[in-house]
Amino acid sequence: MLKATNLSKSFVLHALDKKQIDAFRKVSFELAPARFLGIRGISGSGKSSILKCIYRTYLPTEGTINYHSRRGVLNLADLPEQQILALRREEIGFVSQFLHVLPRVSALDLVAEPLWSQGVPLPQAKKRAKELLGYLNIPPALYDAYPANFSGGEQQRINIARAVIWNPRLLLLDEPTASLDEGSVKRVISLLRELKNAGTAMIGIFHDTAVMDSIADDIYHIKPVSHET
Amino acid sequence: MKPLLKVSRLSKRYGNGCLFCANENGAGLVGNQCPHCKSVFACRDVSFDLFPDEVLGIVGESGSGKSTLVRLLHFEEEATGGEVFLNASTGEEKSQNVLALGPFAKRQLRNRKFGIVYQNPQMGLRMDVSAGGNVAEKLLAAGWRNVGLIRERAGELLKKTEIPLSRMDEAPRNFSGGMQQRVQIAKALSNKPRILLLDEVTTGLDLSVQARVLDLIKNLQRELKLSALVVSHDLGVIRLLCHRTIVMRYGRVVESGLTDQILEDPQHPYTQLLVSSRL
Amino acid sequence: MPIVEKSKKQTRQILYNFAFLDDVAKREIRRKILKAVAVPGYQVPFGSREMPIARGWGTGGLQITLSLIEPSDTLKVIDQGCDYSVNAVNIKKFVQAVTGVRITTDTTEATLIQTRHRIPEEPMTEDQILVLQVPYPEALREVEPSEQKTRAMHAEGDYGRMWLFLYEDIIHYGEVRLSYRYPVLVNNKYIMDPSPIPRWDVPKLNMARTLFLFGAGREKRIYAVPPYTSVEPLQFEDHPFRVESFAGKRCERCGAEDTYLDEIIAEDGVTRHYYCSDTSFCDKRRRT
Repeated sequence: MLKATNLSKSFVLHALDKKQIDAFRKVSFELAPARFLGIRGISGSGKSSILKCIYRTYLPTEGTINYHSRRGVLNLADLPEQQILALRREEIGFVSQFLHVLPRVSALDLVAEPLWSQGVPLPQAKKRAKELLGYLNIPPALYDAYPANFSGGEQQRINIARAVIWNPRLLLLDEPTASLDEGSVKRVISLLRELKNAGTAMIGIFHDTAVMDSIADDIYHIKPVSHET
Repeated sequence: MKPLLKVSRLSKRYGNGCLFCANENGAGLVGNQCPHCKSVFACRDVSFDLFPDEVLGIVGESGSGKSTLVRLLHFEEEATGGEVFLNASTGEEKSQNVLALGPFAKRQLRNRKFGIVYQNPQMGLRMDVSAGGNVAEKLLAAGWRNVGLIRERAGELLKKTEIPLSRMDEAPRNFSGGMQQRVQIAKALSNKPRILLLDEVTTGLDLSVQARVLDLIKNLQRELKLSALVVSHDLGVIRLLCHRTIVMRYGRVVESGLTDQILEDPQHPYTQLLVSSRL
Repeated sequence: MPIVEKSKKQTRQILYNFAFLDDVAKREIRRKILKAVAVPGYQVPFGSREMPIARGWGTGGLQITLSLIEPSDTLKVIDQGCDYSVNAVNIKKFVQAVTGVRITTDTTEATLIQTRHRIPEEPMTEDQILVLQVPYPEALREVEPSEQKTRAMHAEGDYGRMWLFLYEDIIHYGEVRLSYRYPVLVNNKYIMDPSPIPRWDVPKLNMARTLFLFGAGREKRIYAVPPYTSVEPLQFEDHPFRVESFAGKRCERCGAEDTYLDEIIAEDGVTRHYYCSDTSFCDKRRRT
C-alpha cells in the first residue's frame, strides 16, 4: 500500500544563517492495505513530520514514498501538486489535533462536507454525520453550533468524524486522542477499527502507548537524530 | 487535467527601461526599481497555472506586484511581456494568448469569463446606481432585455450574498463596508464567471464581517464550482480559502506550493520571514 | 471667397458664393455626409464653419442644408413643428438670400426640409431629405462625460451602462423618463441620439423612405440614417417603448386626433388648449 524508503526531512532556517535542522533521517517502512502502522518515538523524534511528509504538508528532503493509489503507484515525495490535491480529495485523509475551519460553518455541515464532496447527496451525508456525532457523544444541541468555540476535546472528535465519514483509503492520524477522556478514546478506537476492517490503511501517532497497542498491527520505532550539523 | 488559465512569463514595467535594467526584466536589480531610469518592474516573468475548481492564493506584501497581476489578467493594464492562455476545457474555443486580442474581444472575455472583486468597493461598484442595477450591469451588457428576469437574477444573487431584497433598489453608498463588499461579490458572479479575481476583499473590514465574507466566498466557490485567484497579504485568509499559493516579492514569484506546505514548510527565505511574522 | 464689387454708386455690395459656403467647405461637408450615410448612426467629425448665426442656433443643420442645396430645390424650415417661428423664418430668409431657391411650408412640396425638434406628420418620400438640427449628438453623454471613452464605447458596442441608465429609471419611476432625445439603436450597431424630437417622432425614423441627416454645429458632428434603415428605440421586453398619448384630446383648430399636439395653458392658468404641433399640416387639413 505504501512504502517509504530512505525518507529524510530537514529544515533550512534562512533567518538563522541557514541553519539546518533534521526532523528525521533515512526512515524506511512499509504499510500493507487495511493495516495500522503505529509510529513510536520520543518527543521531537520527527513522528509528526513523517505524517506531514506523506500528506505533503512538508516537502520531503530526500527519499521516496511509493503509494499504491487507485491510479497506480505514485511517489508522493515528488508528485505534482495537482495530483496531491486530487489524492487528498479522493484517497488520503489526515486527522490532526487542531481544527482549521471556516468560522461560521456548523458542526453538522463540517462533518457532512467530506462525504458530500464524494458525491453523496447532502441529506444522506447529514444523516451519516449525525450518527457519527451521536456515537462520539457530541450533544445534539451543538450540531448547529460553530466548532470554532468548542472545547479541545469536542473539536478533536469533530476532526475524527470528518476523517472517518468518507472512508479514505489511507488515513494519517496525528495524536487524534490527545485531549479526549477515556470513554471517548474507546469510541474513537472502535470507529477506527471499523474503518480498518472496511479496508482503510492507517498510520498513526498516539502519545498513549496503551491506546496505540490496542489498534496498531505494526509498530515503527523512530530514533531521534542528533541535531549537530 | 488541463489548466483553465495558463500565465507564462507575464511582465509589467512602468517606465521605459534603460540599458542597465531592460535586460531580463531587471534581473540585476536589488528591489524592483531601476536606480538609473527609475522604471518600476511590477511583475517579472510571473508564471503559474490555475486549474478548474481551484482556488489559488497570491501572497506578498504591499508593492509585491500581486494587485498589478490581477489588473493585467483583467485587462485593466497592458502587460509589457508574457502570455496568458485561457483554455476552454469545454472545447468551445481554442487556447489562445488572450493578451494579443483586440480591445473588443478582451472586453467580451472580461464580461463573460471573469468576475472581479476589489478591495475598495468604490472601484467595483457604481455608488449612485442601485444595488440591483450594479448586479444587472453585466447582464445588460450581455444582452438581457427583460427587467423582470434581470431583477429575478439580481435578487437571487443578492440573496446569496445576504443582502436583504428590501434594499435592492437602494444605492450602495448607503451601505456598510461589509454590505458593499457583498454587493460587489454578487456583481462579480452575475455573469456566471469561470474565474473569480478577488483582490484583498476582506482587508479593512471588521473581523466579524471578514469572517462572513470569507464564509460566503468559500460557499459560493464550492457551490458554483468556480476557479478563483485570491490576492491577499493575510495568511489567515489564504489558509482558509486556497488550495495552492504563490508567494510574490518585488514582482517575482519566489515560491509556490500547496497552501499548507507554504505555511508549514516554507522554503524561500522571504516566505519563511513572511510566515514567521504572522501574528 | 466673397467677391467685393464696387457699384456705380460707390456703395459696397458683397456677393457670396451660391449657398454662402465656399466650395472647399461644401466638398468637405458632403464627403462627411457620405461617410455618415455609409456608416449609419456613426458620428462623423467635421470642420464646422463660422456661420452668420450663433452656434447652438442650428448651424449644424444649416451647413448640411447649404452644402446640399441646388437652385432647383424647394426648401421648408420648421422649428418645433412651426414654419413661422423666429428661428425658422431667419434661417429660411438667409438660405433664400444666398441661393434664391423656392420656399414652401407644404411638406409634400419640399425637396429639402430643415427642422428642429420635430419630424413632419405627413409621410416623406425617397425624393426628400430631412435635415435635423442637433444640440448634443452624443447619446451616451448622459452616462459618460469623456468623449474619448464614449467613442471607445461605440467602437466596442459597450452599451451596458446606457441600458443600466434606462433600467434605473424603470425601477425608480416605473418607466423611462426621457421625453426628448430618446436613444435609439441604428442598424443594430450604434446607439444614436435622434436629436430632441419627441418620442412621437421616433418610430418615423425606422425603415423610412427618406434620408435623415443630423448636424451638430457646435459639437462638430454629422450623422445620418439612410432610407430603409432599422432604427429601434432602446426598450425592454416587459417595458416597451411608448409614444406620448393624447387619448381623448384633439386639435382645436383642425380636429385631428392622430397628430402630436402642443399643450397651451391659457392665461387663467387652468384651461388647457391643444393644437397640432405641425402647423402647416394643420392648416392644410383646415383648408380641405
